[in-house]
Amino acid sequence: MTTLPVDKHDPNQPYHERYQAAHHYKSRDHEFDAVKMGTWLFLSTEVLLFSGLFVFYGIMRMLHPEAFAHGSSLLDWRWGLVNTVVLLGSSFTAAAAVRDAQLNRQFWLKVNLAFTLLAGVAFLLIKFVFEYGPKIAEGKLPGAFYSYPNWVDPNEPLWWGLYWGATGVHASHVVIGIALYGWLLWRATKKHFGPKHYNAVEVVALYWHIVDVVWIFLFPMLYLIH
Amino acid sequence: MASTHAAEHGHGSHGAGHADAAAHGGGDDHGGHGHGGHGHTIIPLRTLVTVLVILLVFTGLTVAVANLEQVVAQAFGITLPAWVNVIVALSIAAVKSLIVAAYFMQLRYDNPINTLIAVFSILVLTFFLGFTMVDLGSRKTLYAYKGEQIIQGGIGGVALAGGVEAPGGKSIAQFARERADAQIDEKLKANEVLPKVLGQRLAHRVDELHAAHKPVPEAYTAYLAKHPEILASMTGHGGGHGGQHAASNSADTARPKSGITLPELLPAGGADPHGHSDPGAHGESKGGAKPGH
Repeated sequence: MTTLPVDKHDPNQPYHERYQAAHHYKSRDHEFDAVKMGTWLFLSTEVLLFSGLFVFYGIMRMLHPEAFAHGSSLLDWRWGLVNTVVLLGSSFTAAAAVRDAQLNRQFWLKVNLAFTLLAGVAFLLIKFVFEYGPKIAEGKLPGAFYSYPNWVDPNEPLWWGLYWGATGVHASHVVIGIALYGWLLWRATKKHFGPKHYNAVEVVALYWHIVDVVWIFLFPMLYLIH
Repeated sequence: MASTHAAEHGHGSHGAGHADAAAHGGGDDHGGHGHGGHGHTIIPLRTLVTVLVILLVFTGLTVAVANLEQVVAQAFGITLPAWVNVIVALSIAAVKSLIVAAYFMQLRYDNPINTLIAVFSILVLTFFLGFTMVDLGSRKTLYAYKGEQIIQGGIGGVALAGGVEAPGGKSIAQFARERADAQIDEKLKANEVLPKVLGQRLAHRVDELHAAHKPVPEAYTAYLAKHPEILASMTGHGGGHGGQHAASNSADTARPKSGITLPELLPAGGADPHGHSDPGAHGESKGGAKPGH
């Protein structure tokens, strides 16, 4: 390193300029790489978490094909499609936010962070109002709460258990993502992010993309395959 | 010195927009710190937009193929095998995930170790899913299970939500149906309007009674006559044939009728598993009606 390190408490500089990596790293880039790799290790555990649900889906579908066929026909794929489009758009804005941090475009960074957050909220709203709400009212609930009488195969409560489990775990991940983006937005207003320091934006964007990838699989599995 | 350097670097490029992108697009030594080029690759906006468009196109494709199954079945009477939609939908999903991982998550521009980690987790998932499916697919006991039509998962005397005590040994689905029937009787007696779910249940109940050659209470038919919207809301209801049925479910025409049950394990009498020809086997989809139904 040939440049002198900036005084990390200099109030004349934005946080992202004067940020210094933890002392056990050789440089900020080293820290960035380590943080990114650590995030990918975490994401692989997320994949394992959802793989449990996917394997459950495979097993139950093999054991009770009619229950799954009828159960999935009771879902409205159009709301699933809307939610898919919303999440794909939010993935785009998440990646764009990373890009804006890299280019020091503070205004667009905040815009994209806000859009990602709002897209997450929209996803949850659509889910709760148009999907969960009617299902709760009609008794299509998991486990002991099940009371929907118009089943075709008596094993349909299993389908509903899977539906609520898979979409519920996914929705809770979306809630966490929303909270993280709120945190990022707040930090962005304090100019914490810039070309030399945008670790948090990168990491949360990776998390958000995994949430999107999981939904990319859940949508056809639950809504489209009968 | 340090502060002027920072001032011109930190604030100078603020809001420079596309000129900035042109100057920095794709470059990886943007930091100006003299670090060796660890990729802080800045993906061009056009790449991101293109990726988004491709993802949306693939989404549309998945939906189109899924609906195509129904269209083809109804228009041409061709029943596509179930695995067609499954394979297409899941492979499109896999491709979309790869694109998201490579471009949005920047695996393509990144240290290969991250790709290795991602691939490893997918590998684990593949082993998990693959071996489980191979195991299940080759279990003879599975066939015996399906042949017997054992309906397990009773609610064994545990209190249900809402403070209702459930008798042991009955399936949740069966119990839900009986509760709904009891609610229907209550509401009809009190001259209340039935919610949509119960209205449809009433229509099915009338079918069941017809099919079992039992007398249908006057109150039921009177209510159905007074509320024609119930029958209208149930597609494929036609003719009161064989109880509660998957006939209204277009998915029914687009997948094998008997799951993975071997033909020789179907109930004797060779009835179509959906009980069309067998008036006694209403309500259960494989003709193996649970005793005491």
